[in-house]
Amino acid sequence: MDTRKPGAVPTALLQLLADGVCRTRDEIATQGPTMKGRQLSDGLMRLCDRGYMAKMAGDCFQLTDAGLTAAKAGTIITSGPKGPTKIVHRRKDTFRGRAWTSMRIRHYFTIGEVAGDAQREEDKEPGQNVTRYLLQLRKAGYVAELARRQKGGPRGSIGYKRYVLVKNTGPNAPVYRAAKNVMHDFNTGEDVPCSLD
Amino acid sequence: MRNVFVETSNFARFSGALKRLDERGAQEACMVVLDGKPGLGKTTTVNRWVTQTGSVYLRAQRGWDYNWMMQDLLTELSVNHNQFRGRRARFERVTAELRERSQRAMIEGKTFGLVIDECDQVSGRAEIMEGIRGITDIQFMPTILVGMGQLRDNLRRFPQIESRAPNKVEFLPASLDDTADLIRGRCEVPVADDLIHFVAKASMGFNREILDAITHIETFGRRYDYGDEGVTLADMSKQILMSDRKTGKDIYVPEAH
Repeated sequence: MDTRKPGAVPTALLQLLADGVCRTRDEIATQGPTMKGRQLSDGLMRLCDRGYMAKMAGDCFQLTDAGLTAAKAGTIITSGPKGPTKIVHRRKDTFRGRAWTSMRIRHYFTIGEVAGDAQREEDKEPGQNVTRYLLQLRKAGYVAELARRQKGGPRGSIGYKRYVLVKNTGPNAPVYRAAKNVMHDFNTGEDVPCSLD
Repeated sequence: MRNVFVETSNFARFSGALKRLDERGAQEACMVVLDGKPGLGKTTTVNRWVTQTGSVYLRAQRGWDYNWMMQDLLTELSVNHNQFRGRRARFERVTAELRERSQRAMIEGKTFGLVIDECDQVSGRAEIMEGIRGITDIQFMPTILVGMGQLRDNLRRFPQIESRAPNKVEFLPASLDDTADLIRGRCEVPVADDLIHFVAKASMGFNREILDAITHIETFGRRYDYGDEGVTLADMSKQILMSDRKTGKDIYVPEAH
């Protein structure tokens, strides 16, 4: 075991104590993997901080219910934050982000309406961009096409397609990942497959 | 119909109110009240502004209470509200998020604000209105309250809030010039002045009806050989132009004499 790897020591200690037996520090030092005294202390502290272990009477250490569950589930403790980071999320200002905002406010919309709301002078072919984005969103089940079209268009046109936003998961625009053919939703952290026809 | 945003006199007044906010003397006077009858382009204007500025948009609900509002606000700020238990924790997180975004916008020379649509639904409830005041007072962030008739009247019940909203913008029916701008900006076939006059009169200045008329004019114009000045009143004689919002009946272009 590489004891320098962040989280390796507490993970090993969690597995060592997984039988639920209360052990003293010396017992853990002799039964566990070879490590320095300081590393052992830090590892035990880390388990206590996470609520996985408690110090019992007689200076022995025992896993809590949460610790036993984590050990059973094979939880690997890594470095990093334990809870909300309190870092404010920074949103990029993109055309598709603006289009998503417009869809969320309008709820029912046509391609042209969304493109009109979102476009800026520097945007190239906003209509085509929205068309492609809506196709991806539709395949992932975020928007649905309405049966009835909006009147208008050139002579002989049957009108404009209308859409409804059926899955409004939050303010961050889902992003298409071509390699996996999924929409990654930053609001839920999920990859939604673009599998619908 | 072209999907372009046409800047009418209502939009100019809205922009003017936001500009006055930037130049205000009293920092706490950071609210703008935006009201007017349905169909005058309030939501379209606000939608465009929110989309372009990346501001936060909330739609008030009839059953809103303070906690529900804060949950909605946290969701709009991409924060999982379940991570923050208790009023104080949620309030602190909301203000931290808004402060950060507001400051960043100020540094980048952009506008950032909070828009609360359908505010009539909650404008009579002290708990909600005081909550909004508490949030906006932290950063003196532009806050736009959008509603119809009752909003302005209800705010009079809360002098401490009304004093923060000296900028009130009432969306008015489109003038003849606005109607002409809207038709020329969005209609894909040229339209003569006499037909624009008739649309302005028949629509009573409501954008929704004007857009309805543009659809009919376009449909007609594409299969008609109009003259140099565009589709005229005489060309569209006896054709349907729009629907009357009160009666639901079709409005026809009068017969040419």
